[in-house]
Amino acid sequence: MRRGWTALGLGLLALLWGLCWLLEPHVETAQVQAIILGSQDGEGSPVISPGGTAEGGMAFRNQGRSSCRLRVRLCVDKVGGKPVLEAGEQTRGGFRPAGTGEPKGGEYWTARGEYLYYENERTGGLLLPGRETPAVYTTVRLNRELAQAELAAAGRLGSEQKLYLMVEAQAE
Amino acid sequence: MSVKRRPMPKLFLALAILLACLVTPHTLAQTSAQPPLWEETIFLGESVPLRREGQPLDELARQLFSSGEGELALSWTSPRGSLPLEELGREKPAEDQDYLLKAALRGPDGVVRHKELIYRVRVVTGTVTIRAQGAAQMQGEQTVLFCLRGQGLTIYRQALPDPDPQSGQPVLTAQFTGLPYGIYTVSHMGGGDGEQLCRLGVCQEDDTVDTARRSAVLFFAAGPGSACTVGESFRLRVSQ
Repeated sequence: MRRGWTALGLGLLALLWGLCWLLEPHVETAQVQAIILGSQDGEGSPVISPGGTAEGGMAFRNQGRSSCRLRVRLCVDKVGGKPVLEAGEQTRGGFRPAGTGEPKGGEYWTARGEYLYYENERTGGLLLPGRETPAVYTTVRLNRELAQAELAAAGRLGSEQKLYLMVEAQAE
Repeated sequence: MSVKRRPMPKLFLALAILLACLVTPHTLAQTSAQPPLWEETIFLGESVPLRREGQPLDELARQLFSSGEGELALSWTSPRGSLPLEELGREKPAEDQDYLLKAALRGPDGVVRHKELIYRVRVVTGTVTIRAQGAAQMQGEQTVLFCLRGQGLTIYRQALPDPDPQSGQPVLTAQFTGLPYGIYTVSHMGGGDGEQLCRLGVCQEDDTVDTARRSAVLFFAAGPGSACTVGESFRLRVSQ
């Protein structure tokens, strides 16, 4: 008889724990993978000459179980207050900075303030599990407005210039 | 005991004498014609000093002559061409630079004497090192990005694990090199621990420039941030 009561008590405890787990708001952490689209020729990073461009690019895949919102911030070195590298897209009409291009298939990146936001007309801006964003940019350009002295100053900071993306993903 | 010397081949001897004749005068000419040298060290961003140990350069130039009396004419030449003294004082070389000084002194006897001198300006640059502790709390692929701002520059550097942390605790380090003198702010991107001020080459007491103060170390706490950083590299082809 005593064993029966113990078993019942344990069963009730397990039920209570299960209910608590179900009712507790779960915060899923977004799992996003960065995909580098630029060409690496095996001899190191692509070379950019003044006024020239190089292929580059970064896209993101949602590897989590929940949908998520994404925003990225482009971080590039500046000399004389001017960015050394510009990320964007080479179109027939010329170079378009990232986040200002035409929406493609209802999916695009749009610039607001210091960030570029992933937008999706069908999902209300959510990146669904297993899906991949369009490239944030496909071309990188050496800023044409840099004077010779500013280019030399950029060269002194390092022979390689890095374009960083700070990625923030929020699961929903 | 007798030592038999092998006679030196005549051809070899002739060649040795010929070589000695060719090289010796050339070497002598080089050493005797080498003009004297003045040397100063400045911080990147500073102008060429027009004084050495408190004395103006033109006064020092007069002292090159045994008798400094008379009318002195100076001409300065940089790798880009001749320039007046005032323009020399506005030059801000980005790397070590030699300036040629030609001085002509017309003495009281009417005789003009000439002297040449090289004014070598050495340029040093600054380095800011970041050490971020608390990296053990970082999750998987999360990395830390630091930003340095000042003197018209904005530079980003990713902090990487220190291969030899002295304390045994994991530490991330980032380094900003090749900097001109000035006051900079350094911030941890995506982290909430604010900005830190850094004086490079600038004395806090009187704002003068000191080339000895060319490196600074800043300490940050590298807790887990909300952002993750990825990057792509590009090589610049910049003609100097």
